[in-house]
Amino acid sequence: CGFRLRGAPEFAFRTLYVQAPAGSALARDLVRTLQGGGGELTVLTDPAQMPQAEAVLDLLSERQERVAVGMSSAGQVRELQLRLRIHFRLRGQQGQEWIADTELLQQRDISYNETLALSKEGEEAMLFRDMRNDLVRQLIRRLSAVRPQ
Amino acid sequence: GGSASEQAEAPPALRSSPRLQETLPDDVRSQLPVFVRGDRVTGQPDIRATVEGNAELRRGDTVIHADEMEYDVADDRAKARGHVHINRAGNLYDGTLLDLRVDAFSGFFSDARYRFLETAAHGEATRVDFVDRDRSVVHNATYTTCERTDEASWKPDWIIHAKTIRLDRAEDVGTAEDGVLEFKGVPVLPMGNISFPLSERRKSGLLPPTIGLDSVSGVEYIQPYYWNIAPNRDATITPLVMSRRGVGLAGEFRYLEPRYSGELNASYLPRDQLRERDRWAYGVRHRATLGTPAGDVGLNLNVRRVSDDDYWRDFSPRTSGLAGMGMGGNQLTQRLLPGEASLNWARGEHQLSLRTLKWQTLQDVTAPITPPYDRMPQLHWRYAPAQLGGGLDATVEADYTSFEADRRYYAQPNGRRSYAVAQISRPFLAPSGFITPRLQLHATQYEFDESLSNGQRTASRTLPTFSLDSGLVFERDARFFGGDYLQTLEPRAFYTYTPYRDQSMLPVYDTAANDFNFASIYTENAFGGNDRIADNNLLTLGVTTRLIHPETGAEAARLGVAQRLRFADQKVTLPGGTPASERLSDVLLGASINWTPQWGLDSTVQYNPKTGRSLRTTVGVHYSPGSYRTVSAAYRMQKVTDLITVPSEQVDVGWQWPLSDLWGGDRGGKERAGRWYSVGRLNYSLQDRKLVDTVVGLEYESCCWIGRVVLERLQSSQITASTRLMFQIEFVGFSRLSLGANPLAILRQYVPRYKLLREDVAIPSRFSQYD
Repeated sequence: CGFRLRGAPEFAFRTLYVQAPAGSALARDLVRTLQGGGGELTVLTDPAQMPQAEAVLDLLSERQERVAVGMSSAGQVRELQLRLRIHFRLRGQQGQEWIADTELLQQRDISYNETLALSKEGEEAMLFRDMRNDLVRQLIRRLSAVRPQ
Repeated sequence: GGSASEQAEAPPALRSSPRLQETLPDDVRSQLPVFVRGDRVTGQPDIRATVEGNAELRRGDTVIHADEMEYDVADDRAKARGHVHINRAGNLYDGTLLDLRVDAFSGFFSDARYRFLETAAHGEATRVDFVDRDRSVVHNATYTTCERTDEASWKPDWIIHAKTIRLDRAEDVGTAEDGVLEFKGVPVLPMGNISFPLSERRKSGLLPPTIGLDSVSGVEYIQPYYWNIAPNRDATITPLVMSRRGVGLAGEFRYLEPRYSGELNASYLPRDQLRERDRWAYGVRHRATLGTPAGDVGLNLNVRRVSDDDYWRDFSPRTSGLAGMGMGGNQLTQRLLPGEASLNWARGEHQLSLRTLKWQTLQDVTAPITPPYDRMPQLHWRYAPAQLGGGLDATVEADYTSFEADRRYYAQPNGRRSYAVAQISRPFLAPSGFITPRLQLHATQYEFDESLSNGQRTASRTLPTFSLDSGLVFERDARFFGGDYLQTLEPRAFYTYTPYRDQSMLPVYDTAANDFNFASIYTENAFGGNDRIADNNLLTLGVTTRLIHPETGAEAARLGVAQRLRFADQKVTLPGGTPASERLSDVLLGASINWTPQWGLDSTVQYNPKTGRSLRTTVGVHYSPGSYRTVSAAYRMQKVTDLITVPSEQVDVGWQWPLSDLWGGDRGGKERAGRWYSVGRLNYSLQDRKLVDTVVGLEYESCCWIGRVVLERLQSSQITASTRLMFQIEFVGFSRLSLGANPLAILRQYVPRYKLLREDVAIPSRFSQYD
């Protein structure tokens, strides 16, 4: 019913530099996915190359939040919400803003129990990884939708 | 040579200045010319000028208007009479008689009215003595930030009357002597000597106090003091009184250095009269980078400790001055407090960490918590080579942990566990899909303090796992609800096989079943942790479809479904569990819709087609049509399963909304003054038929003060609850704003799009007051 296999993503720029806080796991995953994604885009990773990049993605913030959203009547946490909140912006080589500061938010609910704190550590890490994957996919969609005038 | 001299003599190009200068540099200031004009100007040039009628003197950022003026050039001194008006860098003064050295800005002014640009503070005085450019002394003065209206009967909501007020604009501090603060015409706060800030910059001073009524602790008064020690260091010291408990003190210290940063906090309430003991709490958070010959090593400390099991229930983590950051803030669990120290080292493809973790569990006989195991310590190594030939990906992980717990809670012995996991995969990636075979080997070794029930002092287990993950991505252009979308269809199949090994004798230290969700359904092991490795021969099938706005790439909707097909029983279980023999697992259904930026829905349902019932359901919706306007509601239900022993069913509602909107008349954007805001969060447990957590706050924002009333009700056990009512008033421009003394700010994390009132106040430019 009209479905076709997805082709390589097409971008309106040939080179991209990803500017992110040191140690950003999201930036690492994004660069890796873009590099392995096929297509014509070259991801510049050396900071000295930033001025040459036709587009610069600023990952302005990346915040992991853990919030207790459900309690028992005896003060125990029963439901936990994990959130991954990022802000990004895309600029052209001359500093033109192609995508204004945008927030993307992913959230996952999991059950919680104090006794299981050690195992929940690993489960939370898995869900943050899952949210990161999702955000990488969404970022690539947004980058490939940019059509500078 | 000719060309060189041509270059040197080339006229300088005109450059545009992007903006007018807000402050004048000192060397420019002394050279600025003086302009004098008026109806009649007499005198000698460069010595003296006398101006009569509409006199005006202008020098740099200072302008003086008066009926009559004399200006002495040598002294740079102006004497003015009648309707004198000064505008100095946007700060305005009006009075009758002025004697002033213009550039030095020293002199006096009689019967003055003044108004400061930055804070919009204004007042009246019998006399202003200008000491220098930054300092002045105001006699028999008033001071307020309430905006004057045109009505003759205007009275400010709050005002300070003082014998003198010293204003220091270099330090941005005002000091009132012999003053009294009046609110709505009623003197509320007699002040001997009190200082207040003249700008929004961080300054030492009193933060707004909180007055509380607590059903258990009685009347409370909390008075925080903020100490701005240095740009990278500050402290908050909070004395407090509780009528039924006693007098306490809480303190917080924060520091930020290039190589380390952190927060320390402590609170102490000696001889609590209700519990008949000393109460205390402390918290340490410290992050540092240590230079070593082997490279940088990261150090992390995170320790929370309290004096007794009832601490969480007596001092609300959100609003009690005693809880401070010690339990509130980023502390997630009230009854389980971490004490954690770790060292982390990474170089290239290697990561090494050493970590100790010791919990404090706050016990309650009616709802005990089996404490989790302490890691005393854990040593973890991870090796992930970046470049392996042939597109291969591999990691090796090794871990040694000594697990300790109070033996009263566990029948199994404490022990030391080592494991190593090696895994190698070969991802084949293409835009249209992927396929990833993966092979994993997991070897574990235990050593126990005492024998297991079968007499063993040690145990070991080695298990291989194979998995194959694959997916495809299809796309098409589609039209839904009158809009054009790119629709994707993403089927995924995941097969995994792990042989069976009897693990029933092994203790469980760090392991539990993962929640059944869209992340865990595509993993090899149903258990989180390393004490159980599930024997699996199963296939997960799933499909996801997304709707994407073609112009922006934004995701408007996502729907997913997934299910597991089991080809053989899963015999490995946690103690007390039953083997999984169903061939078909529950069905997972997920939906996430963000149709417009205002509306959103997120939902996951675990559904059993056989019984027609759901074991776990979460649904959350939010509506945020603008700033200060957001509502969210969520329903979360968890039934008892083999793996989860405690059911729960809850409704959670959070909001922030301007109340005036409810009865019509949105005055929109800028005109925010004189408005009621409501903010709150309710957590209702259908299981207990109780509101387990309630915070409802009202905020009133007038032009020059903000009032808050917060009601908090915290369920402290199955049958008891404590209720607190808190009042707070902030006089804008007098007591400092937004420095953490706001009990509602903590609601931010529950009401995800919560915005603080007056969060975004810009400082006006002096050119906004140009004469």
